[in-house]
Amino acid sequence: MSPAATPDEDLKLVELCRGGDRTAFDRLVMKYQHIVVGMCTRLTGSRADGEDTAQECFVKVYRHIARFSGESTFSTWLYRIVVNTCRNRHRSWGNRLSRQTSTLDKAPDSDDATGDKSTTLRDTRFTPVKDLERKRLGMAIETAINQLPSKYKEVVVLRDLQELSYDEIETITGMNEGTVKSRLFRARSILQQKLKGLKNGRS
Amino acid sequence: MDDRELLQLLPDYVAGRVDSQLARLIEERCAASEELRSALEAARRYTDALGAIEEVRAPDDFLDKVHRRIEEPSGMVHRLFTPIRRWLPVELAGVLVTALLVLFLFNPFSGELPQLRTSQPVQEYESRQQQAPVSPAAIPQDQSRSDTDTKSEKKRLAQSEQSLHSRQKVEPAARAQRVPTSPPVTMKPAPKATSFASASDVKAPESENKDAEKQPGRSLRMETGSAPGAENTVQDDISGALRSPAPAQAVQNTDAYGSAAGIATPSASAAPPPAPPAAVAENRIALEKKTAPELNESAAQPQSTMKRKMSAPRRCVARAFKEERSLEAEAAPFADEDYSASEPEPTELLATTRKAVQRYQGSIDSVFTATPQKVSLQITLPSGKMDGFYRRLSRSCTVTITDTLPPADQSTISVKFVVHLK
Repeated sequence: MSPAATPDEDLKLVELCRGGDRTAFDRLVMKYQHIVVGMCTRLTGSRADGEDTAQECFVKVYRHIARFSGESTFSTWLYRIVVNTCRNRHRSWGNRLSRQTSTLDKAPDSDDATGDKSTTLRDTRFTPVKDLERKRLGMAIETAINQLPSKYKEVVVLRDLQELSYDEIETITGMNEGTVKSRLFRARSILQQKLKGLKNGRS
Repeated sequence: MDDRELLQLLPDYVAGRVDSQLARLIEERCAASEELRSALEAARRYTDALGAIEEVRAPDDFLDKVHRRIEEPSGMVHRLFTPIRRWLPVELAGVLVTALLVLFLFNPFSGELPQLRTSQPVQEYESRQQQAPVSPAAIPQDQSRSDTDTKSEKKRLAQSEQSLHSRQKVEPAARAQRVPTSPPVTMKPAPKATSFASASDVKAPESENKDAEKQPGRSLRMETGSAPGAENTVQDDISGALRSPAPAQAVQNTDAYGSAAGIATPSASAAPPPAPPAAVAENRIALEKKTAPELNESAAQPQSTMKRKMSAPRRCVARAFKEERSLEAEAAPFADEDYSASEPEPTELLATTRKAVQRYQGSIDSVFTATPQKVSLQITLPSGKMDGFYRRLSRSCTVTITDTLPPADQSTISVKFVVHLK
């Protein structure tokens, strides 16, 4: 899911961006926007919040591009910004309030996993049965991921959805490899248990 | 590699993210273990479910939104005031409430603030003086509290003096209007002052007091409360009482200072003041000797340095208190439950006289003068004990009976007399 590893190209764009080239920054945004929006959406659990957080991340990149030292790749630096921004948003008072209110009318395993109700209705009406089952499975796992504690959600999103290496995850999250692996194992166990329950419930 | 590590690697194996050697190892172990096979099946379902998650794509206008967000003002000011239509009324209301609160609490446009600060201690001092004990029975007899009470009284006097000075500076007109209606301010000594047990101890503070007298500007000034602008200096009264060359003058000074009504007013000084209760007078004598130099110092010094300056008199008081304890131990056979038995003596002569009175089951009604050389007092004795008392006291002192008072009953006799050292 990550774009082609072109660190040299990213570094050139970063240098241009530091020099005030707005077009270079636009190219960076265009290159990483889908990944960043996807990560933010998974980590925040909401499409709207994900987009907003992704915009905030790119604004931070634009304003603090001079702080990028080049020790890691630009993508790692960007993902670290994404994770930290989502952590801050998760801790914020307004986000806690919205989570408290939104969980009242959102049942577990509901079809409205991402809050995109129109998409859900359209999909359930007009897709074939097999695709429908697949979509239901995807939504169920999305819901299960959203219900994970944030410390587990981070590693699952970074490893299993964004397919980053353990080294990158260590750099991005600031955790050591053992912590990453143990959290990942624990998160996968929880998710597999939920999937097992989903299958048993249908059968 | 144990089973747990293999279990951790199964999702990566299913996703094709392990090398071929590790993949072969996993296949062999899974073929041999039913548990690993079921775990591998669960991992496949998990990976399939992850693959079923729809990819989230950014909207088409995402870049424009980022541009707009970059260009819009940021920071605390922007967050506080946008949208201005919503936040401005809230912030104006907050400012208004804060201003009202400041006005209510501090009232900067009124000149009452200095008065509030200074009048409260004065009123508290006056009310405390009105409740002050004037009879010996009202004076607490706990010997251990006397030192603490003396210190607290000194502090109160110093604070009141400071507040009075500031009050005089800030609002002389208001004070002039309030003084005639307010009760007179009296200067009350400690409920139970510690005295010096020997003449040498008495001389030391006296010499200090003389030094203080050389600096009239440093004396403690007290408001009389009877007329505007009428003032007495406590130092004058104290030094007058301490000097007291003649018995009549000594009695007058003591009365003027130690009267229950407090410091003599101009009108009160014209008329003969009422006789003070003996214990109060004695206490005042003791307090004068102890506190006069100290009060002078504290009046001249800032309040912050007062604590340090009081350390020497405190040591002096503690030493005198210790010696008084030893004297009490000596007089234990003569001690009774009378207040005067435990009252510290300002002079050795008075202590001797008191012992003799107690020996003959009498009581001291009033002490008019108490100096190391002379004591003037009024006592009441049982009728048959007068001769024995007189003979006993005359062994060491010269006793001159100045007046014989009409007895309250037939069994007692009251006399005024003066005792001199031989």
